[in-house]
Amino acid sequence: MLATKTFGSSIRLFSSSVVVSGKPGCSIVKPVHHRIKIDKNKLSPRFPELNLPKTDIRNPAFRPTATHQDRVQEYYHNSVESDLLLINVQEGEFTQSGKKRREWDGSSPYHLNRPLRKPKGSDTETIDIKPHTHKNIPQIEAIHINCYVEQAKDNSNHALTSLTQLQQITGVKPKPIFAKTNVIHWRVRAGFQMGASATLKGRPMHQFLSTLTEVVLPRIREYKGISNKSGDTTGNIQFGLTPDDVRYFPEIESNQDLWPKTFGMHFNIVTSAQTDSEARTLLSAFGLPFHGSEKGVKPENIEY
Amino acid sequence: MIVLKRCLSTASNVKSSSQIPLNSIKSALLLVRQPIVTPDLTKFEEVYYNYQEELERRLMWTFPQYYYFKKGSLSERRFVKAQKGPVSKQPGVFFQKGIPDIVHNRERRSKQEIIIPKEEYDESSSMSDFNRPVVPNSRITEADKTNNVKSLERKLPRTLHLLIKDEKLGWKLPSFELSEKDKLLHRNAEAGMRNLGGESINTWTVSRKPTAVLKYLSNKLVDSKENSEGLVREFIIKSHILSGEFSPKDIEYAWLTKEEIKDKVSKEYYEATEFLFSRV
Repeated sequence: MLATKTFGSSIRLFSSSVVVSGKPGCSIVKPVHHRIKIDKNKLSPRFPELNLPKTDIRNPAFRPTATHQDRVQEYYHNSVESDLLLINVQEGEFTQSGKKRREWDGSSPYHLNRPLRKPKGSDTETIDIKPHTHKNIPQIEAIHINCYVEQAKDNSNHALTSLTQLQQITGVKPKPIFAKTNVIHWRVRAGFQMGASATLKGRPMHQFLSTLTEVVLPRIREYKGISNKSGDTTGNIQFGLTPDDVRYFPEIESNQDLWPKTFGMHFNIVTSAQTDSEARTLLSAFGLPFHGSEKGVKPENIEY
Repeated sequence: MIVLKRCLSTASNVKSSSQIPLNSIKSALLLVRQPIVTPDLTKFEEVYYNYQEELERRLMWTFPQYYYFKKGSLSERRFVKAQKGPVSKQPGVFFQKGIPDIVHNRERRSKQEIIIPKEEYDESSSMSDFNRPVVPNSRITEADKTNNVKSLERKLPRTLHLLIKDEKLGWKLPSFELSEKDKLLHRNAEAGMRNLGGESINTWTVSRKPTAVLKYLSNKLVDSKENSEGLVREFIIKSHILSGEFSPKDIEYAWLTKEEIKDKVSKEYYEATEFLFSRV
């Protein structure tokens, strides 16, 4: 909106979320017609160190990452990986094709240039299940944390608090999230800052995972575990924590005065497993408990 | 007539079950004790991590004291009292290590050392148990000192494997003859192990699929491609010991690491089974 006001209708806007965040979204320094955004700081000969990658120690933004032994990673390599291969591998496996979009049969002239038919029995395509080998042993790739704060529509300070809370818990810099559209009966307007999100990978992810499984989850009262029905069928598992559960994180618990209000959050654990049940097997090796019956599996039919 | 096919059973259906003698199939057990503590670091790793950590501390932002301690509170006073504080710049004074550059009570040229105030620990009071100093246990246990290979508490950073001594074949993985025709291999291995070492053991079998197969011809290990008559096949099932103890009555056994296994078993046996044992 800001951009349209400043430049009139002649500027093409490439993304709506940029407008929502109140930034121009294109270069306001002339020439403004570049289709690819150019970081003009990088063209300057004054600070050549800034053009080096951030992993280079000469770059002022360099931060060391491997500061200690990564015991979660070592546990995975030394103990989990070989067991997972043994569990998952089946004799005489072949690639099982997923549901794909289908060709039209050509019975009508209107079938020409028509988008492909939906897959049989499904609205979306599903992935192929490839044979299990030592090259595709599932592992945890990332943890996405999303903290949507409903109260932030009335008091935007709550959104800032959620940012700080996420930073304290994870140790990485979170990103604010904004409402994308107007939702009238929620009284939410597009552009409202509504919480925080963070993506954890590598060492911070391993650190977070061990805090979660060793400190937080065991202390939640009557915690049953992650639902066995959770999952997006492609090997990613989702679960959530309530505002009270978040209080068990040591960073928040040791500083109770600072946190009169905490916020619940949703987690999405992204794994390279091909199915949800493989992902659950992987996650249970890291100490995440599961409860309930799986989709389409009756517990009395499982033979051990 | 309905033919029931046992798709998941590990016994192969090359011949009909009546043709294969029951004593030609055995299920062996690879019973593993996982490492209990983190692996030992090499000298290089230790130095590298130490350097990176010091570097990180050097590049760290100044500790936001105002965020964690409310101004004028008791906890703030206690925290400030515990800090050493940098040497401040004085006019007309020569500083041997360079002129101090202090912002927010931090010497910017070096890392910031934060000292967390600790209440004094009083052994008599039960309330102060929270302040008990953390003293890590030794990574070297009693069993390591006495080289007790029968103890599960030896070599904490390493994976241990159970080996037993057979009268005819020497040191090897425990193996059990198939007791019934319809018994699954992993069940047979579990039952055999409990028969041997008592019921007070808690194990988790990784998979009903065997990890490897060893072939014997008249009590001698033969090549895995051998396919002659009268072979005895040993299917190795992997399992983890979670708790309890393996305490057999009249049999020699040992919990060993990979290197120790190499010294104990015969050369052919080690070559055939080497890949099963964990390097860590």
